[in-house]
Amino acid sequence: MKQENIRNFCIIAHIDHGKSTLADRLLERTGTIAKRDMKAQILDSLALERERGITIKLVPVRMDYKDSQGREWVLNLIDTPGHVDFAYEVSRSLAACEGALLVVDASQGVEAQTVANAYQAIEQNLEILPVINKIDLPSARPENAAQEIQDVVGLDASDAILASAKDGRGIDEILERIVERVPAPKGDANAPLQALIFDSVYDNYRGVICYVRVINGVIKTGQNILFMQTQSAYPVNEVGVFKPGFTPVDSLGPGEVGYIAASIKTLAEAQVGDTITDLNNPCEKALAGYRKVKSVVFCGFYPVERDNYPQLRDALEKLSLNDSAVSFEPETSEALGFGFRCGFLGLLHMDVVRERLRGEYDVELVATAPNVVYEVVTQGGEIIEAHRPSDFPDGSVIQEVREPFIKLSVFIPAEYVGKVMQLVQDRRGTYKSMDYLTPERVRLVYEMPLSEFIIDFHDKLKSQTRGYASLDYEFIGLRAAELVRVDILVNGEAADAFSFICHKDQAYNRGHAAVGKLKELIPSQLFEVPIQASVGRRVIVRMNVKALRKDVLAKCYGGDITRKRKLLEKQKEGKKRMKQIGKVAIPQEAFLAFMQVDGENNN
Amino acid sequence: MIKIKNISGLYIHVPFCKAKCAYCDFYSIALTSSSPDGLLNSQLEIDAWLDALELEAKLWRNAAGGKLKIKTLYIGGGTPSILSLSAWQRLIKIILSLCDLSNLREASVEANPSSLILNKDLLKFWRENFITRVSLGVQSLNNCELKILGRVHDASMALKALNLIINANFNASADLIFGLPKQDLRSWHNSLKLIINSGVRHISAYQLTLEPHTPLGKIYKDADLPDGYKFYRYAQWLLNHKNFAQYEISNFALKGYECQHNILYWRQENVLALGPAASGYIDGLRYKNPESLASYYKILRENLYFNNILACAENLDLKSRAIECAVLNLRTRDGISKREFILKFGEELFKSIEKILLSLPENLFIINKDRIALSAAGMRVGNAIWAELMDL
Repeated sequence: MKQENIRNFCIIAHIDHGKSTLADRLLERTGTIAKRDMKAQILDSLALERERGITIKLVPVRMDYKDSQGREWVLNLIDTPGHVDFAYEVSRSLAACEGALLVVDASQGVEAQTVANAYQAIEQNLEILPVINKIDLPSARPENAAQEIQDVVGLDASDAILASAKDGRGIDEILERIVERVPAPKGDANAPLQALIFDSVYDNYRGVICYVRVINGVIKTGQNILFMQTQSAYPVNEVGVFKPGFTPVDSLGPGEVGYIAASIKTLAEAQVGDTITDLNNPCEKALAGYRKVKSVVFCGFYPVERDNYPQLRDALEKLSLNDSAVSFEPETSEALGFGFRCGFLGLLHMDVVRERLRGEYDVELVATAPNVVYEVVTQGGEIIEAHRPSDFPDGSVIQEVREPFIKLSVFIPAEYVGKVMQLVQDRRGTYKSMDYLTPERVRLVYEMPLSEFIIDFHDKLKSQTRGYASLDYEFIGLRAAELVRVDILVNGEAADAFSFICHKDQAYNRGHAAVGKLKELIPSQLFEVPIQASVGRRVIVRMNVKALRKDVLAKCYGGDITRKRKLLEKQKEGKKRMKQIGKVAIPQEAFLAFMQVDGENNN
Repeated sequence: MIKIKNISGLYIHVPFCKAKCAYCDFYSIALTSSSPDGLLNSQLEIDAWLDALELEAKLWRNAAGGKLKIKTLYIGGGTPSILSLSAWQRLIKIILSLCDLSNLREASVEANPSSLILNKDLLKFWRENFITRVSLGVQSLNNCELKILGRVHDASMALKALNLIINANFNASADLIFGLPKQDLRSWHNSLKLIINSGVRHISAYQLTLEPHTPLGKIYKDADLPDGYKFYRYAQWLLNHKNFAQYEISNFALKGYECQHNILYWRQENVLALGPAASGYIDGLRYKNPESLASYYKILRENLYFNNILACAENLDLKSRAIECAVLNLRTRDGISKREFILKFGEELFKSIEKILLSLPENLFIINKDRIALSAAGMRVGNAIWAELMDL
């Protein structure tokens, strides 16, 4: 294919604005996929993506398109995830494209994440084509949506394409507009090879498969290539394009998007953002890569059955082969046994990983409540990274504790301003600014601790605004805060698994909530069990689990004592699986209920 | 072959009922006698059971090398009182062929109100044939509660039957169930009061347990039942107040009218058991007969009886026997006798059991020189205390 007939583009859209359906229509119209083979939303290949109707992994696909004048084109669509957690994947897709469709829902208008992604596209000099989707809906207000694109994003939307991915309106226009407006890729076929790895996945048979965009030169089967960052070299086994699915071709030239396989064993050897060049004729300079993603939310994953630890480890290792953003290291918990402390890009990412472990790797696991990483400065000036409450040194030696902060932008209909301000302020947010994007839509900007954000903030925001709010956030670094460790004591014994870090003003409320919850979860024992929350040596909350009052059951009938004994033995087995804190036996379920995130859905 | 000596008690299971009660998980089959055909079939079924029982008794007699000198007899079910007089005659004959009754102190029969009222000659027959005690399945004296339980009698029938038993000069006992759906303390008080005033000398009070396979277990969940605590505690208070001492977790009696047969179980003494689904204990061997008439007949007919018992029985080692004995003893007012326990199981096992018990709150026990027993509060949480002993 001639370089001038290639068009590389991506789609920028908010979750739910119809991106995946639109992509499906494009595939169908170009005959890439026969209508009868269409599964709903073909690009969302992870089971979870289809289930939740969201895109998580970016997925490239190549379409062969013949326009109304009979000209033939190759269109490479690189799909991007819409959720804020996966913003880093967006930047990767953008780097492989020359154009972007900016899809906006005709009734909902521009959302925060769309703005952020559109800005990234502008920054990378992409041609942006506004599309107003879902015009078939009765609530559609395409003029308003166009106005928002102009006012909020700042792009000319006078010739925005009006489309309905559902009934197929506007699809031809989109294809024609892409061909017409998106520039052909530049690049020199005779220059030394320079190809950007924009993603990679692991395949059991072929090893790591790198998704590449060739900038200069040509890559072909048999060629010896060099990964510039890792300095490792491999002969190429296979070169191909996404049709969709892996379809081998002889070579990929400048501007083309495809994949290579070279029997690479681990993702670490073929890192996303690295540049591939020819071993014998290397280019001078690597392409600008991506910033390394950093885990911001952490939680513990533990197998439900302790014996399943090796399965969990294997599953995490496999999963990390195609999700390099997950980090994990072994840890042990007194209550839950052996498990892993895992790092994620955000809460949705955490959920996604958990779901994938369950769905794709068949591992049942317990996830502890998410937390952030604190920095503790001791009196001696030493800096400790505290991942869990037990990493906190004694209060007397702490000089300062720092926690990660974010800048939070919330986009809401004007009527919810009061409610949302209250919510953010309750979470230690500091007001920065408020502006009216349109008379009905407001952007609120706050700075708040990440730790306050990761505990069900998104859920609360959604429910306070009937789902109309959207948000975006960015990290603004660590800041000192008055944080304390709250210890929980069960029958006078410290129970590490239940301790937590919080702001000193919230210690009482959080302590009260934790103790109250434990009071419900810990079964009555033969004696009264005090449960206390303390900061340092000072007890701030105390409640008692009342002593068991009655436990007599069933007639011991006609001398059938075996039956009674078996029941008691069963009870004993159950007790073995409990965790003993001092004299108190606490069932596993109580730990799980205490540690698990409240409310399963965080997206 | 099983060696038997020192059999203290004999239990016989009568596996027939007029109708299955909604809560009952014990083995019995419902007999239909409403049609002439049904009646005939019932008689055939009962005859077959008696044939098998006769065979079983003979096997044990041969094993023992003579008659068993039992102290107590308990004929339970099922509903023993629905057997006809002629069936009873045969049953008594079987018992006499197996047992020497010269030391017999107590012979109990279970009955239900509806069959006893229809079968009044039975009381006279029992009186003439060494039966001393009749335990009546009253369960409740509230008609709504009786309906929920699926009982065929109502409150007035139950009181009438109790009256017949007492007038015929038997030691009468009544069973009551608490923790029923919709039951409240008033209705429980009323059932208890009427029973106390009826002249019985022994009362058993059980909490309803929902067994998953029973009709009641399918309709209700545990959460639908009221908390049993208040009923149990009230029964402990009221019955004690009326001179019915709590001599066991579920049993209350006027002084001298404790059920001797049940005490054998709590003292871990040898009890021989006959009939399908019956459970016996002989020197550390806990056995249970097959839980269906068909397989019960089969093992007897095919001469596989002892093989079957040995194959299915549990042979408890010393430690399990000691734990079991402690649990059983702790069900009773008398509790564990230190002297007797050490004699049976040795000092070391006693010490470790004592250690566990002494680590629990004191108010749960009554401890004196030789005995450790549960207090009233301890009995209320008996299950949890026994569960602690399972850690040994």
